[in-house]
Amino acid sequence: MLLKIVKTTALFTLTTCSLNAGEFNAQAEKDRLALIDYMEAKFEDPLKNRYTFFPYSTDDELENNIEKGLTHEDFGIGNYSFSKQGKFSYDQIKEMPPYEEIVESGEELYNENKALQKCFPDVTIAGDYPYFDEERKEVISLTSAINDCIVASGEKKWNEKKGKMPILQSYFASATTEAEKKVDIKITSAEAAAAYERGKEYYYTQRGYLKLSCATCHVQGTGQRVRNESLSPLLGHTTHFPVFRLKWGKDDVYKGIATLERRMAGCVKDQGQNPPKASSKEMKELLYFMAYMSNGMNVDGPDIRK
Amino acid sequence: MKKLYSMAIIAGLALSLSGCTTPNGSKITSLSTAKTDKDKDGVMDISDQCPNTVPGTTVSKDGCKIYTSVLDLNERELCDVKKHGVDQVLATASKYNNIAKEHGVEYKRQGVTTSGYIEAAKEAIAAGKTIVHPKGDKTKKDFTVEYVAQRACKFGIGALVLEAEGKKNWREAVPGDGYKY
Amino acid sequence: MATKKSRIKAKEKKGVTTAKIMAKHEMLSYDEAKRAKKEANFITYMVAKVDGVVVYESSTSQFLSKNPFVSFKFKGENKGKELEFTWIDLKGNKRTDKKKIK
Repeated sequence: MLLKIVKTTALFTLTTCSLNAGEFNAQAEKDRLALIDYMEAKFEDPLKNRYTFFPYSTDDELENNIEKGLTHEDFGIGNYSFSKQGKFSYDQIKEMPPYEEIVESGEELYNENKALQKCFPDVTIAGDYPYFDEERKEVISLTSAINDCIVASGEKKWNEKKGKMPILQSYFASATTEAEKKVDIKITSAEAAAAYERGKEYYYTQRGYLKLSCATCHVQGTGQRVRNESLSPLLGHTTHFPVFRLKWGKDDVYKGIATLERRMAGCVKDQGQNPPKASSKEMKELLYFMAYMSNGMNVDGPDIRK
Repeated sequence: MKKLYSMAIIAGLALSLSGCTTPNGSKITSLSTAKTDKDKDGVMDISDQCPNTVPGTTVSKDGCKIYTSVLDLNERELCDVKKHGVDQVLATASKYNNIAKEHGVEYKRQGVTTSGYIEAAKEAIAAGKTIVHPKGDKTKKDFTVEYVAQRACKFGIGALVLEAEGKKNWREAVPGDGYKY
Repeated sequence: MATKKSRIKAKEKKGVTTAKIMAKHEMLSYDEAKRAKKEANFITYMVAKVDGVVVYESSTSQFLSKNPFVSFKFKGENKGKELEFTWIDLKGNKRTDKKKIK
């Protein structure tokens, strides 16, 4: 009789617990699936659906330069997924990508630093960050985790946007890609869900002199052009970081690689607003939201972008 | 009767043993605060520092009453240099821009933040000059002190107005939370 | 002047080896050099060998841009052998790098 009570109690506890944990990311899952549906619907047949999704594009462009029939995983390579011209140049440069020597430097950095090896015994972790730390009640991004480790070992904080930080991160990202891991961001508490919501609000709020929200360009505006650039989708935005940007790496390969924080700050500046600091709560929660949106996609960092 | 008794024991045990409580020990019901907004001010209770705001008030990110006058401000009139003079306009600009900075919505245009414009204008006035070159300006143009003061004032108020308006309708752009296509 | 290492990738599949090589060199043409106020210098000759046998050879000039990339294929059972790549530039600098074919 007692055994029966114990068994039923255990079962009851387990079900309530799992139902509970599942509920925290219910809204996030809904958002993510709705985003995938939207993107797939948009690129199913651009020419046919032009009035819904591409009101400003020409027929020629929609027919000849935009791919159709794209599905979830395809969006990982940003605007090269649908821009045929872009994809051609992208494939060419991927034959001998400039970030390979940066990954090797990253590996050296890791092997020389005992503290880093202790903090990050497993290097295939690029798909697990940012995560919500329940004890500290804040979002931890990969950048802030690395800096915490460096400071704890007695050294000065690394610059969060350039220099050693992205070099080390490219080693982690490359290792994660080779291990074929996927982006796996978790929301397992009410506070984490609230942080996610704040990141989401930041993403979708119009800001700055130009009154643009991140979504204006990267959700509603995906596939459309801003001068000569095709806008990339939110889906898959964070999978390929740290990113090697040709614009930054023109003269020196090591200047071209940069972290998520650098790129997001650049985007906010383009909206006409003073960007949040790289280790600020706003930035980290924004990254938390964006990373969650790419859950389930392959990690494919580092990668090249214009 | 016996069955009811054992059911009660099981339920009690389960709830108390359940590790699914939030760290400060409150029960499963705390889950609800993540999704509720008691005072309907657009900020969820879990992040709302002022959970009893009067309905209809415009609030800032922390759920507290924003300087309600932001949306009622007549920006054109307040930033009119001819009417109020450069010093007063700069003072207005500083006042509102400081709030904007606190909220994290300060503008930055062509490499110069609103504070940059204000500082540059103040320096120019102190030095007795009429042409301003804000630090970091990418356009490298000549600006008059009046123009810079007015721009800073517009940016300061504009940022707050945009923030207040944006709070009302950002959800309409989210697929899965309001966006229709 | 110190020369930089060439990046070599060589893989064999079904009897055909594909090699992709990027030579690191400033490659300043006469015009570019004048604008940058430096001396003109660019790679004039490239050769790749396996076991002493030439598998790729080209004479080049100003038309190649910075860090030239060459890609070529050749037949033969070459897995495990070393691919040796050499370049010579206008000033007479020479650089040789080797990599095992995978």
